[in-house]
Amino acid sequence: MNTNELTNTQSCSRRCSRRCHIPLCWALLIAFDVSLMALTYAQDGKAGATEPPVQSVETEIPGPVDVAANVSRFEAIDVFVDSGNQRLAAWQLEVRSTANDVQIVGIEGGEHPAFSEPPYYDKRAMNNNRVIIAAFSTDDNLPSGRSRVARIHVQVRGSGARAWLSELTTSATTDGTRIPAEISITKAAG
Amino acid sequence: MNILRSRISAVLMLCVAATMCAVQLGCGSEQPATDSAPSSMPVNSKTSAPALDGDVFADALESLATGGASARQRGNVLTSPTRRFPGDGSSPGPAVVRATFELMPGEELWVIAKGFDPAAPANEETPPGCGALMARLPDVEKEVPVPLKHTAVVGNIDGYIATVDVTQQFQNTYNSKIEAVYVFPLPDNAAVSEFVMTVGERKIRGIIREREEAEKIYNDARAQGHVASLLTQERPNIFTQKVANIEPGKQIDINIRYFNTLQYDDGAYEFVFPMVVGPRYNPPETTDGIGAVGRGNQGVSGQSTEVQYLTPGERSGHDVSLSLNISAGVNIESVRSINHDVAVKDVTETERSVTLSASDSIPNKDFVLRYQVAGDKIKTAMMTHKDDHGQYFTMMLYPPAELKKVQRSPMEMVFVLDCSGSMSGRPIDQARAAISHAVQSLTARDTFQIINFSSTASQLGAAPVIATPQNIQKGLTYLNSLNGEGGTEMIQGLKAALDFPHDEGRFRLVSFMTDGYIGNDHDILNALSDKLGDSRIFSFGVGQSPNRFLMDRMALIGRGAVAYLSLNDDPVEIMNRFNERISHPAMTDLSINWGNMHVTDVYPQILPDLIVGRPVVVTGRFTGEPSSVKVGGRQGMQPTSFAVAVDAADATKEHKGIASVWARLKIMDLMTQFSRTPDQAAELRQTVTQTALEYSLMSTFTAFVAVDSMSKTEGEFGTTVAVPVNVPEGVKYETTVEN
Repeated sequence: MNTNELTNTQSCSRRCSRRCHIPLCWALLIAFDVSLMALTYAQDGKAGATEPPVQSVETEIPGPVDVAANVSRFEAIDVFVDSGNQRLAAWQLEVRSTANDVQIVGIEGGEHPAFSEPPYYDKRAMNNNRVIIAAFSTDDNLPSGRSRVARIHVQVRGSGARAWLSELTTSATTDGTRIPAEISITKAAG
Repeated sequence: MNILRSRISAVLMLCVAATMCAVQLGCGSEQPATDSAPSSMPVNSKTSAPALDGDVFADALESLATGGASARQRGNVLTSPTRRFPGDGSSPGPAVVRATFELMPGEELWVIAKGFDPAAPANEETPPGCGALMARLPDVEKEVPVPLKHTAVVGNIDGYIATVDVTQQFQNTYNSKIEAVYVFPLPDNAAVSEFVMTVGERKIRGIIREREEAEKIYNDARAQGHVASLLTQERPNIFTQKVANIEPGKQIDINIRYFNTLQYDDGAYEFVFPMVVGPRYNPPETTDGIGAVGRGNQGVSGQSTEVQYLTPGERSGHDVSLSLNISAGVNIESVRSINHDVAVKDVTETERSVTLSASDSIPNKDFVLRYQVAGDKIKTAMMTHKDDHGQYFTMMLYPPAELKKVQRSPMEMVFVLDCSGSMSGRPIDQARAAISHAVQSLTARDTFQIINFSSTASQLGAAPVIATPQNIQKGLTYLNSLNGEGGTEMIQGLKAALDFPHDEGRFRLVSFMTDGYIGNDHDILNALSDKLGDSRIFSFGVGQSPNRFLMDRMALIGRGAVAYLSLNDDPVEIMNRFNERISHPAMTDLSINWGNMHVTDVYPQILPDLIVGRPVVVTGRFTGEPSSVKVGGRQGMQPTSFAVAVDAADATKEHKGIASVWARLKIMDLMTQFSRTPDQAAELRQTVTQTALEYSLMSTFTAFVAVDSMSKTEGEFGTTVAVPVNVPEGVKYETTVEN
């Protein structure tokens, strides 16, 4: 063994310990982790570093006042996805109400021809007040910017506003590239 | 001169408009018109003189008689045919004034009918009026306006799994809003998994819910004026579609998608789309049956579900179109439609495109398409599907060729003939011809009995007799004396067929010949299970639209086979096939070694016998890779087995419908238990509901509902109008429908 090398390594370790207060083995471990992450992202390719985080948006949908608890009404929630200047080809989202007196009674498609067909819902996730829906389109003509992708028809009992949570879990372009997009919901104008 | 004459139409039109005379032609309403009423749906109709030549229109054209100027009274009479609507038996009709005049060749007659007051009282008994014009011609069926305009069926067959889209186009031809109610059939093994309501350009996907919940949502929406629809299941093969708040002139489409497996029989696959529910008989004191009543006689039967039938001579505007794309996977040798005219296009050697002829679009008989495939290339096929629920397979087991080499043992043949009113006429003629041929095919080693039932049961003799020529002749004489009349007390026929000592030296085989038009299906199936013993049941569905659910289940429970005897079938051919099947022993006590597959939840849970010419379809869940399996059983007393090689390419090909088909089979199995074990009813009901919700499937306890919250109509929900249907072709209205 080259004693100079050993000496240099030990010296380096000591220097590192002194200057950064991080043992060399830790530094190597961190470097390995970073490499591993980079490799993972590289393997994921398009879904890698640009994958947007899942965002959950809380929205309050107003309701009438002074309505008896057992009196129901039907209304619709419009679901919008804003994909900025990117063309939206696929999406999956979840919409749920925090209230138990809400029932989903129909799912309609969006305003853009590419998403005008009523989206499919996840049968297993379907609940009275919760739905996961998804759609994709192979059309050349795809929406960009803010577009209504679905309309959810609901039955609501009683008075007052209802809180809704919406999460956009997937938004992608034609070639499957995940793109950042924002979800929002509003009460449909009757 | 001709030109002048042909303009009579314009004169007539102006007369009507100018005088605002309340002329109602064939619109179904018998309410008097009011002068102030706007014409909500002005409809004109053009009828050319050649078509009218020698024909007579009946009923009114009031002021035209005097105002009709040059119209000469000779042969042609314009009329407003009397219409009957739900409960209209006592409704006063409009004042009718007849006008007769002559039309010469080349002339035209135009009549504009004035709409009626949309605000006119609308209730279940009094239908809304409409502006539709209909002319009645002698010897031509009277057209009755119905809220169902058209049914479009598009099927795609891949292997032996069909994906079928059914679109029902509901249309309001009246002048006030309506709720349309339509009781219709689907195949009993249809896994209905999608439901979409189209309002204008907008499509709303329906949600599967527990039935009571869905009904409540629908009723709430209906009461609040929203367009809404509800699909419920009354029997595995009978469904009710309700569409609320259809405004005048508007159309609402309902799209239903289902998957089902096709039957394979002697080298041919059979695709069936039922088009009409046959009139059911319900034993006294039954209230949850399927009532059969004449148009407008709602509630007469006292049953929870009712089908309204058009009277003889009436025809609704409802028609059906059907197209089918077949991808058999093996060469298709021939395609034959049993009851309808079709156009068949050869796409490739293994693919066909079939279209129902437009001239055969009356929905009064089952669409049955048999396509023969290259027999020597048929192989036991396994198809699989994988999704987030897990992996599923369906496999068709073909009987081993060796079965054909062994002759059967002596038999005790029991023929049970349905002699109820619905079998009267051609159906019983067909059934008699079939039994006659089967009896004459027996040998002196066999015994036979002929039982008939309607309101009661009777039989040829006290016990089965040896099939000697003399006894056969005696049997044929007895058979020819039987006619169709009375009720369908099928339970009496069952008892007579199964409640007598079994001849140990003979294999008992009971063949039921019936249309199955009963409302207490489950009672019959339960009784059959209880009394079956070692007997085997071969059920024959007779006629153009038999109760296939009952027939299929009887054969399944009875470990036999089902066959259908259409009025267009040759009974000799059908019975020869039957004879071929029973001429060889079945492979019994089947068991399957699944090899490397870990298999669970297999349906049917009790494997039926493998009979010559009839494969068995087995569906289940599995983990692992599809692999070859080994089928074991007995041939007589001898153990036997055969290996089934699974084609990896076939097995791993994606087949989306399999999960739904499996779930549907599971539900059917649970429902059989439900009707037989009342003490476990609550638990079974919960399991059925959970399965149906999880797989988004129709069942007795689940329903599809869709509400358009964006469209709110004014006022009450309007008149409920049932869609009356034709009695199936060959069935007599007089002997089957209550009035």
